[in-house]
Amino acid sequence: MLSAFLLRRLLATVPIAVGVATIVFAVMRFVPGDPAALLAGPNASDDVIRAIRAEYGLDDPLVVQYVRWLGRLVRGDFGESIFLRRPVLAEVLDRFGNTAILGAASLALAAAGGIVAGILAATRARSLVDRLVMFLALCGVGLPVFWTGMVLIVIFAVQLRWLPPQGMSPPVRQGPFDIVPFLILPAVTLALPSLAFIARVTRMSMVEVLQQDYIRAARAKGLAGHAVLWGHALKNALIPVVTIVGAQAGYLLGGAVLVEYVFGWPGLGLLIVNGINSRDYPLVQGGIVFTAFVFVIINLFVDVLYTRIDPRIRYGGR
Amino acid sequence: METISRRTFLAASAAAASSGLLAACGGAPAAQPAGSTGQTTAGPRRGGAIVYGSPIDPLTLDAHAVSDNYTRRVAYAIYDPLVRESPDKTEILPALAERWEQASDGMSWTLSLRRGVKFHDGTPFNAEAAKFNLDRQINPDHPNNKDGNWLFYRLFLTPIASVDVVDEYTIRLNLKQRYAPLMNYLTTNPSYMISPKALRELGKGVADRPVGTGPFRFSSWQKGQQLTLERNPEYWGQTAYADQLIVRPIPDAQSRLLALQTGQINFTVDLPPDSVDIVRGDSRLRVQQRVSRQHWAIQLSQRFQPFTDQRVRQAISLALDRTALTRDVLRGTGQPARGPFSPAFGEWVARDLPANDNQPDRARQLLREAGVDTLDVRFLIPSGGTGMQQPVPMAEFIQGKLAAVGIRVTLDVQEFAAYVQRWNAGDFQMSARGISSVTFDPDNYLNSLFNSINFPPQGLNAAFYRNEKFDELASTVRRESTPTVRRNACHEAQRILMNDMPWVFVDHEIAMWYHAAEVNGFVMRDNVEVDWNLLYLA
Amino acid sequence: MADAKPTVAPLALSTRGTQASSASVSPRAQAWRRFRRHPLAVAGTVVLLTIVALALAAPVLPLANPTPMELQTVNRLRPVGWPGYLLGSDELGRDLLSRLVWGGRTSLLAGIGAALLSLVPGVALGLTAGYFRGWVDSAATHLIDIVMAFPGVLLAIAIVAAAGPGLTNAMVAVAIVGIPLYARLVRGHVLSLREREFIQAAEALGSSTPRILFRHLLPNCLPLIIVAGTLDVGAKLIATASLSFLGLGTQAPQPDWGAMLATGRQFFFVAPHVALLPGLLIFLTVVSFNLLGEGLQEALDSRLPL
Repeated sequence: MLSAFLLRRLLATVPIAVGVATIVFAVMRFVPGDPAALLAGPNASDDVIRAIRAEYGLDDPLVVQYVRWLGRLVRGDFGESIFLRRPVLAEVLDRFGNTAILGAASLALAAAGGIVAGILAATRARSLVDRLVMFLALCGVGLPVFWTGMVLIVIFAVQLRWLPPQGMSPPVRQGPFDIVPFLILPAVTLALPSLAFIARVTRMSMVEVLQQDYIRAARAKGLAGHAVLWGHALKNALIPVVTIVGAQAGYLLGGAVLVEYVFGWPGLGLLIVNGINSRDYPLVQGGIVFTAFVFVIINLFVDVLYTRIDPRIRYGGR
Repeated sequence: METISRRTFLAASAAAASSGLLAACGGAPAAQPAGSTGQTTAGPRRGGAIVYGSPIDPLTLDAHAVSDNYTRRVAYAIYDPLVRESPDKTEILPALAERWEQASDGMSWTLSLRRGVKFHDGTPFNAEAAKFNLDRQINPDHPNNKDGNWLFYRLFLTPIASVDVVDEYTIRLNLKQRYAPLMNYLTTNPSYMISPKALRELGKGVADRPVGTGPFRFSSWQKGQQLTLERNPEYWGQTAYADQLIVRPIPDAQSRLLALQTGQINFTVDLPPDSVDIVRGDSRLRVQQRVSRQHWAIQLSQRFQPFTDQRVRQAISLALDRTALTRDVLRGTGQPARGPFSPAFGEWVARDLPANDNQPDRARQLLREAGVDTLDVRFLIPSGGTGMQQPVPMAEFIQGKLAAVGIRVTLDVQEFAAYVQRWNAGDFQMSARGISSVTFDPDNYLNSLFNSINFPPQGLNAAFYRNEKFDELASTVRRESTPTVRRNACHEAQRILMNDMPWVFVDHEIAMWYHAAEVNGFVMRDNVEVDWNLLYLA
Repeated sequence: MADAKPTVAPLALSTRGTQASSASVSPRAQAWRRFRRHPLAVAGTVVLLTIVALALAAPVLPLANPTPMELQTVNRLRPVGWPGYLLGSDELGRDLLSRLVWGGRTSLLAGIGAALLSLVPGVALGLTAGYFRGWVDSAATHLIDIVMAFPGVLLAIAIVAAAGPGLTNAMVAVAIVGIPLYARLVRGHVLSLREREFIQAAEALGSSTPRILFRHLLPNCLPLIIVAGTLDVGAKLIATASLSFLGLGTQAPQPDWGAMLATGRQFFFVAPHVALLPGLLIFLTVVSFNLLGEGLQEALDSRLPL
């Protein structure tokens, strides 16, 4: 049953993937300025510019360029970065690794912190603790990450000198874990809004579950408070939380752009922003398409996870 | 031997002697400019890493394809040019070429090459290798000619017609025309020598796996993150003191400052002007500064109606307040300019140029005389970029000053690449650009920016300035060899330029270098290059 | 798939207010009474109204010119409380208070404008898809799914990069990315309303399609749209400020909180307030919008689905 669902769900991602590719292609063709001239650099002769236009196929009709581009995507060919002179896919995969590290750390922080804070508030609903936690969570949701990042850098890197202000690793590497101090500030910065959001959802979900009849029944049967909380309530309360955490994974992927910019974290977002500044068409196109594909896969994964943990859900026809 | 080459050779010998090394006559270790500076105290120590926070990731490590200063600075660690500039004098010193001589008719130069030099891959450096490198950029039939568009070669060395191998260590450059500043331009990256073996095997790929003769050799490169170079133990000159030279691209100026303060990097450039005092106040950091060759100027297009009137152009210059601009907006990181040539050009600067500054009343009067009551003009500037200093605050300041004399300026702020494209096409009414000469020879500014043979799109005379008398003087500077003739022509050309005022020169950037106190042996040059091999940690 | 914007949060300061209300009180009064019960929501609304009032009144307030032609560069980066500069000055000696107030106009306009620009087409799309179902619905759903397959900020950045930087382009880009949010919300609601008696009755009575859409369906969606829209303004404000921060939004010399923050960042060590203040205002405004949205959620008894 699940595998049939999985198959259908997988098939449904195909038109989405094509749509994503089409939108990116359409958007990038609006770019003002002649990419070939930029490619050739200042003072390039017309001959050089013409040669570059031919090399990159920029003279062909849009439809031809579009079809060619789709065909290449299918073969995993994202083109060659103009400025980096290497296949876009290789570069994107390298950088995506860095973004994934940042995103995973943030997601772990946000999920752990958010769920704990949410439970804390829910079990003491309407108490001062509850109100305080929820107020802080509300503020957290409104934090602009580029501002938080700046403030954290000044406090922890410049004033206290506990953590490095930017970059991902020391110039001379000391093993795979030497990135940890570099990871803390950007991960916290990126995690805060999600953490706050998850805390609110967890709290709300918990409060609702705790009021439901079967919990009251369990309590009436004399089960101790903690056993009820952990055994029944949490399991059910976390179902919507899982969906939210999954959605946050996608949000973190996008929000990482700004955090990477502020902290000089060499991830995919920074690569794309730099690509925009240097008008590196293939790189920006490939980077965005790749990110969207990853996003689609994450959503697929969340959907599947959802069916696993929630016995009430059976996927039939739409 | 021509006057210039004899003079420079003597200077080179003097520099070599002062550093305790004899001028090379054969395979001996050679004169390394400024080698003396690091050796004043306990003596340089080997080891450690110089970590340079660069404003950009090098765009390429193919020396001949380099077309920007930041990249050239890094490439200079891996490659040697045929000749180089002295760090503190306006003279040419030997590098891979030890001696040079101009033929009596001025139509060719003969260069004697250094012996015993090997590329990082063991390939010997000789006349064939030198010819292979230069031919790559000159000759369309060369197997590696199509690897790039050789911008710097086209800008500076097109007068070279062909290269002859005279013997194993001698080459002759045959010219299409007399070309006085040839040796000056041979200090730039088109003369950096790449291993012919690597070129044959890798072609374009040398951009990512460079093989040169320089004091550092390539180790690894994670683009956008880190370039690691390691000491070349067989360097023909002073072997590098540092074990490694690490280049970390940090585009954001504030982040570079942070990285320097927290010890993530120990060497950098281009910090925000306001942070200079912070670095000065930090006992662990050092600042070095020197007036650069750069000028920051406003271009007034001769294709835009009122700017064709010389009085309007003069009025714009008179409306500015360069003292307030350099003091307040630039926090002393610039010095007011009178012409294209900064004091770093020494004797080439005409001393009697008028200031044309901060006289708003006279500016208003000139505008009245020209019949200009109100004037609306669009001012094209970039949001940032190489050599542009602080373009937006500077432009906003200028906007205010011009408003005071009745010229309404609308800022047209473009991202750097888009701006460069429009600027190079001369597509603006009024624009501003910070430009830095690759050489101390005045030829670069006079001819490429103001000679009317260099109108866009071929050349960089983006204001479409034309004055026949000026063109003649600029050509004299290009062709004549006699120093006094060139100097007089150069001075006269500046006077004409400042009278015509197609460009309004605003300031000369004061180049600032920042490094950790433990980095020693750094001597600032007027150009972009750094003697990386002489830096050491102590 | 769940909503990917963290700022559009289901807020839950209390459990749902489902108390029976006495028949004598009008629905509006009931709503107001429910709203008043949340001191934080009221506080947020007061803060928000103050900020909006200041921004609206900027032209008549006794403020210095935010973009003066004659710059007092001697007085640059003055600290808070400097004579003549209540909140100090920026890197060109411009009055920071004035730039913050005028910048607030830009930033609020950007946030509210972007939210409206996604709301209107989003609601229209949701209404039609939900009502007509069939191929219209499946086409709309696919389009929504595709746009939602992008991490929002990234697509907005790409659009602005392509269309060129500027406030309008930034607003439009952020708005485009936000359209599916409303479309999904409204479509879902309409699908459930459609089965209800009053719609079926209207159809049976031969009401015209526009009449059903705009007289019956839209009003029933309104509470939901108002709540979602209010919560969304905060998200859009941050999104447009982010673009300005990256240099893709408002261009100099026009003040804007995001752009001011980006510039102020360069002077953070010598004059931290130049960057801190605009950031603080973004934060305050967003939190206030969220509090207001939460209050409305309670007041209109219209909770957003997860």
